[in-house]
Amino acid sequence: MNRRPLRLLLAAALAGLLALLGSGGAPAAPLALRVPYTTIEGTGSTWSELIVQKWIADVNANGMKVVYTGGGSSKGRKDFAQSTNDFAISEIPYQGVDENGNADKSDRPYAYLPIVAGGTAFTYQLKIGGELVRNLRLSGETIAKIFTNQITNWNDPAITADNNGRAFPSLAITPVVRSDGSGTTAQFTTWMDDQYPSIWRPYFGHSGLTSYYPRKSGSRMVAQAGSDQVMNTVKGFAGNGTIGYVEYSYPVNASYPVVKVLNKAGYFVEPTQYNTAVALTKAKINPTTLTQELDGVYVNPDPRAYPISSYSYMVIPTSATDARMTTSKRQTLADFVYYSLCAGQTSAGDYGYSPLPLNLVQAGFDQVAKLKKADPGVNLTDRDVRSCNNPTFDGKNLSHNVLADVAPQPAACDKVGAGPCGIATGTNKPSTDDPDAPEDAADPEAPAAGPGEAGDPEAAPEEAAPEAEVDPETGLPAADPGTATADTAGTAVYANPTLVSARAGDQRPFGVLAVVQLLALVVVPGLIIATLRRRPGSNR
Amino acid sequence: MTTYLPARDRADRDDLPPAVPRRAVGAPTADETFARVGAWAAAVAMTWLITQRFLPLDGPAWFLVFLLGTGLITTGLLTAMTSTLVEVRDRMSGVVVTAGALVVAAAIVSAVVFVYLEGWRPLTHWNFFSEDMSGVEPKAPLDQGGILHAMVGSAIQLAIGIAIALPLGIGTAIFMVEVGGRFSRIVRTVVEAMTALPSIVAGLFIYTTVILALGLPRSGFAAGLAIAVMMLPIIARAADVVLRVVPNNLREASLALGASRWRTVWHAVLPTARPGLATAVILGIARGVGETSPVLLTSGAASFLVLNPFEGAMNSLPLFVYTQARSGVPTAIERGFGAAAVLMVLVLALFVVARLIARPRRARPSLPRRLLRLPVDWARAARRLARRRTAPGPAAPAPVAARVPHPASRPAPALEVSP
Repeated sequence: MNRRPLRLLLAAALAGLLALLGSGGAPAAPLALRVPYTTIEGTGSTWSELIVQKWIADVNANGMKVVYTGGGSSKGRKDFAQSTNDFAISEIPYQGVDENGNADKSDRPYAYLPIVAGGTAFTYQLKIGGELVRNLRLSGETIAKIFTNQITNWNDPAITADNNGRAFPSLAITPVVRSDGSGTTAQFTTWMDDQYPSIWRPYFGHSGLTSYYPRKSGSRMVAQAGSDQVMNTVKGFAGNGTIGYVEYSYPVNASYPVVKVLNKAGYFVEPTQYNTAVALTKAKINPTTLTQELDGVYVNPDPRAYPISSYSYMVIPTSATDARMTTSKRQTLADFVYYSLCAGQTSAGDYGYSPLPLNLVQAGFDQVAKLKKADPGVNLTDRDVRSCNNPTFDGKNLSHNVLADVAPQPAACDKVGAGPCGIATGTNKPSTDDPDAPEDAADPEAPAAGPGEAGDPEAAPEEAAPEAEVDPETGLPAADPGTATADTAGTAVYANPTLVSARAGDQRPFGVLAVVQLLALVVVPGLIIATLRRRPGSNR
Repeated sequence: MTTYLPARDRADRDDLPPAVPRRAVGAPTADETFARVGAWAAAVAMTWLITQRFLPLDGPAWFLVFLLGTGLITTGLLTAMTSTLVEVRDRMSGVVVTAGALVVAAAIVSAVVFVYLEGWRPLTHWNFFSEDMSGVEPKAPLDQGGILHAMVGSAIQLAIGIAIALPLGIGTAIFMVEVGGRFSRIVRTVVEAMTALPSIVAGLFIYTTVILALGLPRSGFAAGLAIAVMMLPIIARAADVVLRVVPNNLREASLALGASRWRTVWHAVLPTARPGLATAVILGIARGVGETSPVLLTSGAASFLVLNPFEGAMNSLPLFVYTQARSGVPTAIERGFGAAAVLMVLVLALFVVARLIARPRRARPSLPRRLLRLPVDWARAARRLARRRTAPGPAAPAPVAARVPHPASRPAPALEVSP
């Protein structure tokens, strides 16, 4: 066992290097107090996997080895209860008893902490005359009715009303849901159960959320395993008329549109990182169960809030006698969580998630402290909100809300009774009239505009919200923001629906008729010749 | 009995008119060729009209479906206008059979081609093979990170799997064929049932026994065990089939010479069945190397290179492909396809190596020896050529044929007592 001192030495050297580099601006604690890092393993949510992998890649430079294997929230919780991982990530807390009547609880002492936020997005394929609709708007009630088979056609008056009188062609709606147990389903059904119990509960049969979406026989509803499959079905060859719920990053990566959902302030908003983060400022944590209470989020009166916003939990072991945990594992976990809650949130927007606001980060740090309570060897010096490099608040000045300054107000055409805006959704860019809005999601730390000039009404022309084209490579504006690029593109891409939809209905019968006539034209003479040749007495 | 040739065909009679060139029976006439080619030309034109002009059916899939339909109609029609009903039926069934063959071929080819079309770009970066994914974020460009950790992990896990499943599988097959008895029937039933074992069950089995009950960490070793469970029934069943076709008189001869049962198996049965046994192992490997679900449960998806299978999470190629392809990030998906392409090449290489090993021992000298002997062979051939040129005569074909290595023509020397 002469490898151990070597490893220790190596770790110490790495830690020293870290201290020299001064990671995160935090002054390093005395070397003797820091225990060396060791590999920690986590399993769970596929919803959060992408951002977790990004953080794992980032902390690798600090000598932290973290392994995360997706496989579903339920699996993560089960693995945690069975002590086969060091942390789990899950969208929903332990349920006690799951849908199938199996136990869903952990005897291993644990704590929940918020790890990453995001909005449940509704992506759809709806074509009018071969052109994809990119600016659909729906209210929460309409969405709930669509996913409970009460609204089954795109020309439903409720959808027309949501889109300010803009009618869509007669086309059956095919809702696409998840067939596997999924946190996304749980988040979606939690929202429906809370906000539209009169629509959701008769459909589900009882109250509460579910990880397995219930399907009724005879409906057009399609079930697919995994967010990627839902996305593939919606954007697929035969996907016209489908609508599915996925996390926002999937439509962004596939450059597919998402539904703008109506919030309490009367604006239709997209689940961009800002809208989700603003909504979650009203999230509360139940002091006894430590689980999320999102009632305030669903009805957040801020015009920027995306109603169906939620966050996923990290489940960490808190027992001092945990068989799997060591001081060095707890230290690695604590530092990994610290990075995730602070600097790691900077990249959340870029990956289609949303940074956690102050209230949730604060709650997270309270839970991390339990690691130190379990093991005094864990060093949490300078691991608090003040040294936190989170993009939604300023650690130095906690009373100043950076998020409120940075998050752009929705465009005027997104209001109920106005618009609809001609701006495409699913681009990870906020739809706003605010010319100073941070357009590039990769750079949320862009200097925030002062509140006085932010809401400059002159910069908001009627229809065309100026959307500055930003080169994703350089971050430089590719076109002058002043020129209304969205206007010309809007009229070109978003064809007038009523005209084309009226024609689309007639096209098919005439097309079939033409095909039948063509076939008859070719086949009938040939058949006549063939029968004449065969007739007895003909000059064969 | 004698056969009389028709007199007018004889060439020695000059007064007859020259023979009319005999018509080839099987070749199509110009009429038939026109019917065949013209029918398809008409079908393409009609399909274009229907799919692109009349109905909103874009895309190559609809085009091909309609092409088959219109092709059938026009072929049948054109044939009916010139020929009998029998010919119509023959021509149309010909179209259907050819289309079926094309569909099968297209399915196989497209599965391979699609993977390479989607994943060729990562393959052009050298770092894709020489680096692991530590410190590489999911959206990183392709010139960062690679699949070294997954390839090494797959190799280690597969080696563990083979080390366990090969002796067990062939031992089971020997028990079923050579020992027999009442139990062998039970074993055979169990093995056959296990072939249909869903891979997730194999993973769950190892997960509950090794990871939960024994408390071992998720590791390459646990994944190797799960792969062994997957491979075992495949190897046992294929080996069973192969051992059963070993001629019985070989066994009888060996036993009659006084060899024990064990020596008979070791020296007579197994060497005879060697190519077949290698095929059994190949089938097992092919099943094991591509399994995702047992690996998903038993080994974590580490992003860095792990060499010790007992230490902790270890990635493997199928798991890497699975995680990358489902992430929804374009570059990650591309990386996943690249890894899938590498996986296919790896499986192909394994097949080739196994086929080379599986060759009967004395039918052909080993590859290095053949390479060494190549100059000698060339010199000999040159000398022979020179001799033939200087002394023209009836060349002796026999030695030439003997020199040319011809492995397939020689039977497997199973019980050659003396070389």
